[in-house]
Amino acid sequence: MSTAALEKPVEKTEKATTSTSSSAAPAAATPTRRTDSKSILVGFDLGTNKSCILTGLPGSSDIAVSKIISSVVGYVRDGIVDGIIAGNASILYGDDALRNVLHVNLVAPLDRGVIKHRDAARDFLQHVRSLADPGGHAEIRAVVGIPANADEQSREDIRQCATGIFDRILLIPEPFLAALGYRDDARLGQPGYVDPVTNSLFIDIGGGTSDLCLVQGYFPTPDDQISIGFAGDAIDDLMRQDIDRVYPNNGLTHLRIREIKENHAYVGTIRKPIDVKVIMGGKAHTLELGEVIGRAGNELIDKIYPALTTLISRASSDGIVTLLQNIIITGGGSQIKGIDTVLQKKLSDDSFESPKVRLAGQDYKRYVALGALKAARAARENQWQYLLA
Amino acid sequence: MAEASRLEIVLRDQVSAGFSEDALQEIFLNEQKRVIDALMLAEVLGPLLTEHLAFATSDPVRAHAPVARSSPRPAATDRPLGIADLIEGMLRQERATRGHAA
Repeated sequence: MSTAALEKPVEKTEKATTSTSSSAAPAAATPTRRTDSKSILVGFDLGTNKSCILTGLPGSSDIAVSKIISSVVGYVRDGIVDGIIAGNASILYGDDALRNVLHVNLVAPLDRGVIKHRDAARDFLQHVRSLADPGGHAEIRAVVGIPANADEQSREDIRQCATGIFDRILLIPEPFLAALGYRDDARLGQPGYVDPVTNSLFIDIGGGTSDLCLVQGYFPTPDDQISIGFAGDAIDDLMRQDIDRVYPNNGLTHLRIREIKENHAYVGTIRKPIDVKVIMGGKAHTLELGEVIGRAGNELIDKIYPALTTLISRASSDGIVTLLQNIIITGGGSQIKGIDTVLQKKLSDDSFESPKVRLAGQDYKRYVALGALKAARAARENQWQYLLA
Repeated sequence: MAEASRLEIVLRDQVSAGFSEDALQEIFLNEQKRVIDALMLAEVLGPLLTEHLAFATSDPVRAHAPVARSSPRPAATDRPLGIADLIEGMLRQERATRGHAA
């Protein structure tokens, strides 16, 4: 298995409006293929390190496919003996590729949230399509998460790579999708339930970017969003530099350092000792990495905090007190120990009124894709963009 | 006062060195220009400083990072927006951005 399958029904949201009649779309732009087949809606979080795909049918609230995939493509090297790679495949994806690292050239299609290797990105999207529609005959309508404030070139790169693979597409900033995904639709209107889409501040810390977004009941403007090119990968890089300095010739791979981070990352006061067992040159060693991990984690706080206060200063003054109670951290960075309490304390120390910073919870990997699928179900016919091959 | 004293010394030196009407006129013009510049600066800075100080003392929550918005906030509506309305807002922004770029 290359992916971890998660089965969880999604709450009923808005009625799907994906009828086959196209009122506003230009007739000339209507694709000629697949129009007589069924449509599949895809909520897709295209992440730098991990991607999440959720699919469902129009008019239904069920989730047909729910998968989290490592965003990596492995091209099998020449000369690999038959039978080494299952099915003698020439390309592997996700964890399959990572497991066969000795036999493939690994390519990560994205860097810092944007496409870096187009061919690998197209192969990866083709794999996503095959997961969503194994038969290959359905019309695919995908809502794809993009970093906050992604520029037009980054958007165009995604559209070009998806052309011929998806049929219609909508690109929506990830932190806004996270808010949509985090929203508990069943509790909307209940006393005491604060709709995160009405008044909240989302901090989505991924592998390539940390995205912050004010969500205040309207679609966030560029001023409501800040994307920082410092996130999980940058923490890995800082740890790598420090470990190389303290333990030269350590031989740790990038993947091993990421694993150490995922198990031990924290922010705040330096914690010592954090002893990590590693294998170097075939022998077991114990490295004390408390300071290395803490310094790298605190660098993330130093990057995020100014952006957080900037967005707070830009928020509507009417609901500022409520907003300060609804600061939500999601994405892989939400697993860094202490990140909520450290940010909350910094806000308190700076005299912000009763701030409350929360973690999105255990489903943090799925919220963007969940929001994307909700958006796909609710999008009007004329809001989709056609991808013409 | 210090400025006036320095000007007096300069004028006294000019007089003792032989009074020149042109030189005196030039000095007066220069000083007049400096005063006008200072007044204009005060006119611009005064209201800004007053606003900033009032802002900082009256609203400590927002005083930490008073960053201006470069784009207007969309008007709030009485009813909660559906997801399709929110998407429509996004598409409207994108059209506006493309319009500005063109």
